Amino acid sequence: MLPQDISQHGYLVDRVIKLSIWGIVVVGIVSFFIMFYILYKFRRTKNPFPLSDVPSGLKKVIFIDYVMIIFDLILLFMSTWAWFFFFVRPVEKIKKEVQEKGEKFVEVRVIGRQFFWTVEYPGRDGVFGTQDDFKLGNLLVVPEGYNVFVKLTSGDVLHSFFIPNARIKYDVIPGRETHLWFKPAKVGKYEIACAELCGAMHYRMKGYLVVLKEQDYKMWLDSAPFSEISFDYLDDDKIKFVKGGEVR
Amino acid sequence: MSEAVASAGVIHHEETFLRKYLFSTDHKTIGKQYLITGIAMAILGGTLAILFRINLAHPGFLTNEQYNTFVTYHGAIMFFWVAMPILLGGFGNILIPLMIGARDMAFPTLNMFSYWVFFVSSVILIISFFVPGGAFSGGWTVYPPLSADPGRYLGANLGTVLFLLALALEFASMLMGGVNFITTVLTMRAKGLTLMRLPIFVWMEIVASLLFLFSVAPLIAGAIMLLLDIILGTHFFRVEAGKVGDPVLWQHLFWFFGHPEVYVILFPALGILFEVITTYSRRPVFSYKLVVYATIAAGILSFLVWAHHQFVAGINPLSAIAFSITTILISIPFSMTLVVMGLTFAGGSIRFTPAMLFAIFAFLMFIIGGLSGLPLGAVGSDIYFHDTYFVVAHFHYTVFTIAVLSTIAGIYHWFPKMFGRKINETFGKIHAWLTFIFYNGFAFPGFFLGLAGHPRRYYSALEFGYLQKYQWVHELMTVSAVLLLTTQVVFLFVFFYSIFAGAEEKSPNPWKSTTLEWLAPSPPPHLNWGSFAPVVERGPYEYAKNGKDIDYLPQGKLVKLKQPVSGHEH
Amino acid sequence: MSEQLRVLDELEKEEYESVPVPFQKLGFWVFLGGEIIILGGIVASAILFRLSYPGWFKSSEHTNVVIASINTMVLLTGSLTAVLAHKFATIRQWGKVQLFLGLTALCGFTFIGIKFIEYSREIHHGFLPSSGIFWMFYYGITGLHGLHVLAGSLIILGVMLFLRKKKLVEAVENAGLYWHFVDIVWLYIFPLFYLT
Repeated sequence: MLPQDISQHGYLVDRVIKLSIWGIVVVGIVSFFIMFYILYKFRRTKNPFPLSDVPSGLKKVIFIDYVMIIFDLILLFMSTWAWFFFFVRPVEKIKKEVQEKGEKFVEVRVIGRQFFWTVEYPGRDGVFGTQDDFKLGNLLVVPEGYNVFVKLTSGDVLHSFFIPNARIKYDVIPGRETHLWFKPAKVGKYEIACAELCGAMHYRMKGYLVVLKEQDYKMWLDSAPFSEISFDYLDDDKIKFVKGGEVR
Repeated sequence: MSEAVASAGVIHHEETFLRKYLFSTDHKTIGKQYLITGIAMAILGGTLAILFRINLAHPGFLTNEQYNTFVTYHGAIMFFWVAMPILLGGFGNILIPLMIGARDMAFPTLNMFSYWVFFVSSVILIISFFVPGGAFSGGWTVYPPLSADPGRYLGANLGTVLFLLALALEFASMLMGGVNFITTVLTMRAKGLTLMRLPIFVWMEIVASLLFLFSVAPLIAGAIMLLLDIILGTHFFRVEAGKVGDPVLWQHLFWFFGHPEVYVILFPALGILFEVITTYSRRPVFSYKLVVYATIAAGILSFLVWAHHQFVAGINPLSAIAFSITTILISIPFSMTLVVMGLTFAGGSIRFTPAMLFAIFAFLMFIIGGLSGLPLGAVGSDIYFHDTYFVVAHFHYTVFTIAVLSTIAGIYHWFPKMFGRKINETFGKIHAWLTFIFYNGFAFPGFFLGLAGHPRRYYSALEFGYLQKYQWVHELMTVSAVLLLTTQVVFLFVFFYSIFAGAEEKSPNPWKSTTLEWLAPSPPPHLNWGSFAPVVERGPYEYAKNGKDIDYLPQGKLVKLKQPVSGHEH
Repeated sequence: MSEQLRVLDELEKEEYESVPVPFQKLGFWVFLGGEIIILGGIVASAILFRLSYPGWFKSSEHTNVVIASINTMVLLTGSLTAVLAHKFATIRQWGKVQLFLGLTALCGFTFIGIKFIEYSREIHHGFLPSSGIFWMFYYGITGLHGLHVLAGSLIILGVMLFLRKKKLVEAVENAGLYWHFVDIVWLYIFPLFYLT
């Protein structure tokens, strides 16, 4: 049911999802079976006079509470781990770690507006505020295997930047800068959705995350934003980047 | 045990039609008024839902603005104009004085006033739907800046102001009711009725009233600030160059209220379930004290979980961990209450009346609802599930099952008491099964859509490639929803028919239930007890007494008053 | 309680299980509890904004301490007369009760009158609710407070009328209680907006 996970660390979130879902399914089914048993065994036709006390065997059902407590503790641990990894560590610290490990990274700024995403790139020099900065509409292009740092803000109302395939989401707020970080591990074209009601066209505020192979990314960057390059692996019908960067 | 019918020597006085039915101070009449208005608003809210569900199955049926408006009003109506008036204003008003042996509420005129304020709030809400500029369409959660500048972003300035005004009036009405409930239960119980002998339903109503009283305040403050933003152009929540407000502050104020609010609705419904389950399984509550303490604990804890709605909304990430912990923690008193509820069935002699069927379904569905809160409360998985259909499925499995199914269980259960007639049992059983099947058909697939990453409040799923393949799920949900509403409409016809022409039920206690309200005649007259006064001798759930001819001991008995009360008859 | 309930009570002397507080007082305190929390919400927001907004102190220089101090004395006088009204109610000198209730209401209306003058002055100088963060809280909170003073004064008038029909000490007590509540809130507002 879950969409394909293309993020290197998405498994942290998926672990929590699977643990919580399977856990509640098991508890749910067990509870239901116990209840069906009780409803069947003590129906009036079978048991015309109520017992003066609950059978001691059934009283042991209280153990469900203890099971829940233990399950909750495990869930809390795994969930806090995932959350800590993505959002608690300050961005500067993550960047420092990444640089120390010798990993590569790119930075972009995303501004959410009614009803499109503006992605600002620092250009070839990797620095914002210089001549080679450029902007694209609804298109986030990143190289595979690089750490991607996204600074988020809103130009008007609340939106939420959601990449289902990367298991990452954070709200964008006017007047403030929020952030998220992930590491795409698979090339392809993936959808970005808005996850906070922002007006009439909230359901169409679609962006694309395009993950390119490293050398293709460099090639694209050199000719951005006026690229007309196509890459076979993005889709069956050869996606082209056209002027201004809308993906067709 | 006496089943003395208190019909002799009731105080009557001449009342005009207006005084008796419209502007009555009798808690039963006021309760029925709340019930009827709540049901009417439920039809409205349910119809809005059907319309936007049809759009989800066939996008283009509505415009996208209409869709957002209907979604907004559906949510607001269901919470504030259906669940609260029915569970608190309706059931609370009708049952509390009867269950504690009082003759009316402590402040009957205030009570009447509270209903009419509520009625006016409903009218204003409906008007807000039709004003020029359109109705508010920013979600029942009214997040700014969308809502703080409605003219600019939504074109709906007047509509938003009226929406907030209706909300404010509804809060005022419920606050007045809450003051009444708390004072009445604390000061007007029958002789012998100590607090630990109260029926669970009464406990639940008191905790709910206290929760509402203490939680609604910050939201009222926030609503005032929002109105000032809209009307006077202040910057509490609006962001403009040089003047930066804080949209997230609204979220805090709203959810500080919003979370206790869902327990305000949940607790009375759980109370109804306990009354119904004990009666039809002929067993006492498995552990009365545990339920009372767990409820109070959950009520207090409910003030400490609110930001689980805001994990990815810009709050301090460390505080998110704290809120995740408290959220998971709060599931524990609830699981205790549910285990107690399940064990209340055990050892009993279960009779599957319509009320009991609805209670069983409510209980089972609520287990699903409560459990589904765990993937959301765990902050790590909420990164993915926030604002997806998983949330929608979770809250429908909690709120709908508990508010609607318990309400219907309560209606079947207390119908003979309130109207002196019965609803046909066979119809009731069919109603229960159909509701159960259609409800699950509509709500359960939501979990799968959530797992697929389908965001909420989307006019159509067809714009996104990763969602298009689930369009058939939307169609399934819509068909189930339509059938669900149809079933309820049929029920409403039967309900109203039975009030006037149902089979008569002259016995005051047809279900052989223990609590005090079953000592009064069916229906209870004005001032309830006539020349008798109820006196309580034991706890509220003395069932399973192992008698062969009678297996229960009523909580109290009626004692004839020393001086007969005289008055002219109606 | 309605007339019928009181009649029944007196006739049959029914005993209720009750907490040892008269129900009118309890009801009123429950209501006050809610009001206190509403105020807490707004004041907490104000304090939060004040802590993070450096321009607060500059803006607050433009409020007039003299006018506000006069208003403080007016409110305190009203509290005094309210207490006196209650004292005379307990010894059942209803004539004096009406006198002091009337004086309390007069204080209330005086407060509002002075407030009008104060607002006019500030608006004339160009300070509107949209002028900045300080001003939005100032107008919002003092405005709401003013509405409560108005409500309190009307309640006092209402009790004065009600006393003609029925001599109830609790009514005087509760009306005074509301006045004191409004007064105490002012004692928080005054330093927050005028003395900083």
